[in-house]
Amino acid sequence: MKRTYELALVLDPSLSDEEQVGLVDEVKKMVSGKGVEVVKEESWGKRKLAYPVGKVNEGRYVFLYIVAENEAPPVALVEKRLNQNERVLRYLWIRTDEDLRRAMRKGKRSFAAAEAVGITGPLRGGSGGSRERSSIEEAREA
Amino acid sequence: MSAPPRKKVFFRRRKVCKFCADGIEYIDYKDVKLLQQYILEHAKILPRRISGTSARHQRMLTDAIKRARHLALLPFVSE
Repeated sequence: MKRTYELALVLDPSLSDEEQVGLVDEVKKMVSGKGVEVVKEESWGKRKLAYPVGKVNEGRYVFLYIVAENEAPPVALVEKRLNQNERVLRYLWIRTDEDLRRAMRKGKRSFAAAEAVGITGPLRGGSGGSRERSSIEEAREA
Repeated sequence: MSAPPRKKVFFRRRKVCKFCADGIEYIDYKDVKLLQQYILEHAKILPRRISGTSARHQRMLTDAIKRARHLALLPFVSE
């Protein structure tokens, strides 16, 4: 079953553009592996924070869109490394496939978050989800 | 005892859930412009009794706002 994730990173504003690329590459390498792939990357550059984090008022925003086929990404490992890395002010790792599929099925329009990870039309089948809801949804679709 | 004061009667525009009307089924935490419309000046989340947002969409909205706050895209408090 295809699972999709988004990993948002808020990085130290004092990094240079090159350093940012280097750090993001490092994270991408950590994330990807067998069956797990970063399919899209989005950078907002430097942006003012809504509130100061530590001592800084700005952050470099980067978003990674991740697709995993039948394999779990190394979440625990990556989160541990991100926590240890002082150049990472904040991160957010969320799983998006369930929400995106539901949205694509019911919604009237498409949106960027779904396109980025290749969830386009109503997706059928997909063997056994992790929650009860998926089986109910599958039954309804059938 | 005097008669109870008459209830004020005035008409209010019927509130409609913007998300239902637009057929939006996923609220992205990155959509700061949209989320900002649903926080009060002190950065509290706008209650649905005011915005008219449906219960489902209000849940999605709060999740998105809270995610955005974590990433410092939105404030927890302001001023």
